[in-house]
Amino acid sequence: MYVCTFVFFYSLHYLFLIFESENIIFLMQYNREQILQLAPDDASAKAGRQLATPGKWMVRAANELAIWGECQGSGRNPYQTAIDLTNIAFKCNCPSRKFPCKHGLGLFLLYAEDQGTFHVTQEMPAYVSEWLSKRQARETTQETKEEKPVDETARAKRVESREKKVAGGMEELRAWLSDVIRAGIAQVPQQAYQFHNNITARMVDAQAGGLAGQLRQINQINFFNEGWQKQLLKRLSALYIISEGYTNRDSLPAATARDIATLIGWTIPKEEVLQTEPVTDHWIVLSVTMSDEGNVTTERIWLYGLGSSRFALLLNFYAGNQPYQTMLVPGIQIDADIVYYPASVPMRAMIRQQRPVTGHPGQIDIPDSFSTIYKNISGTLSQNPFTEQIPFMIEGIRATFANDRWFVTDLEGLSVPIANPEDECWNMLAFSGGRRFSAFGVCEQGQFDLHFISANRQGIFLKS
Amino acid sequence: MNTEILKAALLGTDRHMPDISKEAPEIYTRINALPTSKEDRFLKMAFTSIIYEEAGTKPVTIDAHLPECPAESRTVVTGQLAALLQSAMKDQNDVLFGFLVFRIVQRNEVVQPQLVPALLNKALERKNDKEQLLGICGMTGQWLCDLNPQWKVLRDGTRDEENVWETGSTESRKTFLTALRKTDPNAAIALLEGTLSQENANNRLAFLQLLNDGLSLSDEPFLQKLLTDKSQKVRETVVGMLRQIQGSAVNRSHFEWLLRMIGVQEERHLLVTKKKKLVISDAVMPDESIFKTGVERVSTEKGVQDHVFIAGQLLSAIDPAALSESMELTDQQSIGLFLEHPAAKALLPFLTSAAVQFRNKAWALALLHRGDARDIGLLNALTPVERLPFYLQFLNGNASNLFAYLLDDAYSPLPIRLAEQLLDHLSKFPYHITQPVYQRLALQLPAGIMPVLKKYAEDPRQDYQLRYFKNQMSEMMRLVELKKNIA
Repeated sequence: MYVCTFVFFYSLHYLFLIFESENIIFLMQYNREQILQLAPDDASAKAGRQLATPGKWMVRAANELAIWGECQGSGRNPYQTAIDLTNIAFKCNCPSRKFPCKHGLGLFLLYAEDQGTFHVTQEMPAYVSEWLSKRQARETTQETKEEKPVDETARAKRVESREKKVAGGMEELRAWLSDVIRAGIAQVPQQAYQFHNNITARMVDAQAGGLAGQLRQINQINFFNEGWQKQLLKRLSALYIISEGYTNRDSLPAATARDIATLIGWTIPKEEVLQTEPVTDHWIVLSVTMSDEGNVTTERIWLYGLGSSRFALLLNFYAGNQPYQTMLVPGIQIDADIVYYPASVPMRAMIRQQRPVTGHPGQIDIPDSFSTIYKNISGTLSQNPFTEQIPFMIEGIRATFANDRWFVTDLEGLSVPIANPEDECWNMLAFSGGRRFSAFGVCEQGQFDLHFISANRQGIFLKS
Repeated sequence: MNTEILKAALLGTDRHMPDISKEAPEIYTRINALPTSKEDRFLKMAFTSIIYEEAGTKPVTIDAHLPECPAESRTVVTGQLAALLQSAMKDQNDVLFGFLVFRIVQRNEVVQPQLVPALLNKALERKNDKEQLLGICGMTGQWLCDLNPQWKVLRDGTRDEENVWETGSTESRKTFLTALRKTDPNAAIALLEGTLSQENANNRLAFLQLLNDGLSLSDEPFLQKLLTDKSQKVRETVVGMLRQIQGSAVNRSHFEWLLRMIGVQEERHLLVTKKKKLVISDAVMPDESIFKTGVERVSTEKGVQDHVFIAGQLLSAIDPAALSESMELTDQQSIGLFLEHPAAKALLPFLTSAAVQFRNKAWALALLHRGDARDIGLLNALTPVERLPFYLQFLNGNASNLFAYLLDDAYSPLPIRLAEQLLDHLSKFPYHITQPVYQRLALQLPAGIMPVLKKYAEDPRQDYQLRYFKNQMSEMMRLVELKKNIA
C-alpha cells in the first residue's frame, strides 16, 4: 500500500500539506475543474460529464500507472479507454476525432470523483499495457535520438542564403520605419490594420518570421484607447533597434546577439535545447492561456520551480484544428527536468523528462510590495529590453477601482493599474471580498495582468 | 522627455524633432550627436525613452479604498453541489441550474463568492428568479450590488420599495404590485386608483391583469370606473373581471338572466318514475345590457343554437355552488342535469370553465369521469390523491400540458405508479416531450424508479425512436443519481 500525499496549492507563500491519507492509493492531483479544462471544447466537456457515472462503464480499473475502462457506446463492442497517469495522456478506440474524447474525460472525471468504484489491479489488459509500453519506448527513442549526419556544405549554403534574404528584408524594414516616422503616426488609427500589411508580408518572404510576428502584434493595440501612441511607438522603435542590433551583431555580447537572432526569427533546434543542462525541480503550473493569431493558436504555460525559485514558460503552437498536446492545467504539479532556451534572460523552456509526481509541500518567498516587483522588472529589462512578458508573484494585495480603472494595492499602500478585463476584475473582487490576497501575474507592455489569485486556502484562475 | 518624443512621433520628424533639454540624461545628447538621419536618431531616442520609463516606473498612490465584504453568516456551498452549479452555468443547462438553485435555497446556504458575479448577471437576465438568485449570493451579492451600478438594480426592488412604483422599470413595478396585491389587496387598488390614469394603455392593461389574483367584491367600484376607459382592450379586460366577481352588478345580472333562461322540469320516465330534466328556454332573450358585457349574441360554434350559446356564456362566470343552490339541487344533481342535456357537448367548455374557476369538486369530478376533459385545471379542484386516476387522460391530448402541470417548483416526487405510467407512455411516444422536459421529469422521479429506468435504458432493440428514448433514460438515471447524491 502506498502512502499518498496530496498537496493543495492554496497560497503563493506556502504550500501546505492539507491532506494525508492511506485510503487513497494513488496520487490524484487533478480535480474536476482541471480535468474539464483538458476538454477540447465545451461540447466534449458536457458529454464527458454525462459519462462520469459508474453506470456507463462496464469495466473500471486503475493502478498507479493508468486508469482504464470500457464504455458501452452506440457500437456493438464497448469502447476501450485508457489514461496514462505518469504523464497525462488519453487513448480511446472510439471514432471521435476530438482529443481527449468524451470517454477519456468521462473516465477521468469519474476517477477524480469516485475512486471507490474502480477495481485496483496491477494486471492491465493488453490494450493498456501495450499502449503504455509504446509511449515509454517513444520517449526513450526521443531521448536517445541521434542527430543525422549533416551536409555541412548545403547547410552553409542555406544559412548564407537566409542571411542574404534577412539582410535585404531588414534594409526594407528600416526604410519603411523611417518613412512612417517621417510622416508621423497620427493617421495610423485610420488604417491601423492595413498600414503594416505589405511590410509584414515582406518580412515573411525575407524569412524573418519573428519580425513579421511583431508587426502583427500592432493589431493587438486598441486604437480607441488613450495610450495607443506610446504602444505603437514602442513597437516601431523596438523593431528598429532589433534591426540595428542585427546590423551590429558582430560587436554584441553573445547572449544579446542570440536574443536578437531569436527576435528576428532564427529558431534554436529542439535537439540543441534538449542538450543543455536541465533544471530538475518540482514545478507548479501557475497558468495556461491560449491566444489565437490567424490560424495559429499559441498556448502559454507558466511554471514555477519550487526548488530553483525560477519561472519557466512553455510555448506550444497549434495550427488549425490540431489537437492540444500538453495536458497541463493550472494548479497541478509536475516533477520534471526542464531545459531553457538559451537567452540573456532565460524564460522559454521545454520539458525534457517528466516523472510520476510525489508530494512536495514547500515554502517559497514572495514579495509583498510592487516596488520590489518593479525592481525585478527593471533588472530584466536592463538585461533584455525586448522582454515581452515578465512574470511576478505578490502577496498581500487588494483590488480596488477609481475613475473606471482597476488597481491592486500592496501592503505599503502603493497601487498599480491592472489590465485584466472588467469581468475578471469583478471575479477577483468577489473572490477576495475586498480583502488581501496573493497573486501570480504577468507584466506585459508595462501592464499588470493577474492570472491566478489565492486567499484563505483557496485560489481561482482568472484566465480559465 | 516622453511628451516631446510623442509629439514628434505624431507630427512626424519632418515637422518636429524632440528638443533635448540640458537636464536630459546624457544618452539622449549622445544619440542626438550621431551622424545619421533624423529618423534613425529619433527611433533610437524613442526606444531609449520608453524603456527608461518602463524600467523606472514606480507604483502610484491612489485615494480609493473599497469597503470589505461583511462576513457571511450562512454556510457556503462547497464540493459536488458547487461544482455542479458551476457546470450547469457553463453548459447553460437551465433545468439543472434551476434545481441546484432550489436545493441551495432549501438548504439556506450561499454560493462561493467567485460564482457571485456570474449569478448576478444571470439574475439580470432572469427577472423572475431575481430574488432567489440574489438570495443565494449572500452577503457577497449584496455587497457587489452596492459597488456595481449594473447590479444595483437587482437590489432596488428589495430596498427602496417606496420609490419603485414611481421610478422603477415596468417589470419591477409589476413585481411590486403583485406583491402588494398579495399582502394588502385594498392598498393595491388604492395605488392604482391614484396613478392608473397617468399610465399608457399597455401599462394600464398589464397592471389590471395583475388584479386577477384575489378578485373580490371590494374591487368592483374601482373596476366600474374603468368601464369608460379610452382603451378597448382595457374595457374588455375590466368587463371580464367584473363578470368573474361573484355578487358584482355584472355578475348578478348574468346570474339572473341565466336563471330566467334555464329551468328544471319533471317528466315521466318509463310511465312510473319521474325524472328531472334541464330546459334551456329559447323564448327568453337577455337584455341589450348583457350583450355589452362581453356576451356574444350569435353562436360562433357550428350547430349550437344561439340561446344555448348565450346560456353557456352566462354559465361560465357563475359559481356552480350558487347555481345549484338557486335551482334547489345539489352540485352533483346540477352537473348531472347539464350533462344529460341534449346540447351538453356545446355546454361542456362553459361548464368546465365554471368548474375550473370556482374549483368545484363535484362538477370537476363529473367532467373528469366523462374521460374527454381538455382543461387540466379541473384537477385543481381535487386533492393530490384524488387526481391520480385522471392524469393519464391528459396524456394523449397534449402531453406537454400534463408535464407542465405535474412538474412543480417544489420538485415534489411523483408517485411511483404514476411515474411508471408516464414512462410507459413515453416509451411508446418518446417525442411527446422535449429533452429538457425529460430532464425536468427526472428531477421529480422517486428514487425507487431506477430499476424501471435501467430496464428501458438497457432495452436491446435499436429502432431510431427507441434509441432516442434510451438516451433520455440514461440521462434521467444520471440525474436521479445526482439528485440522490446532493439531497
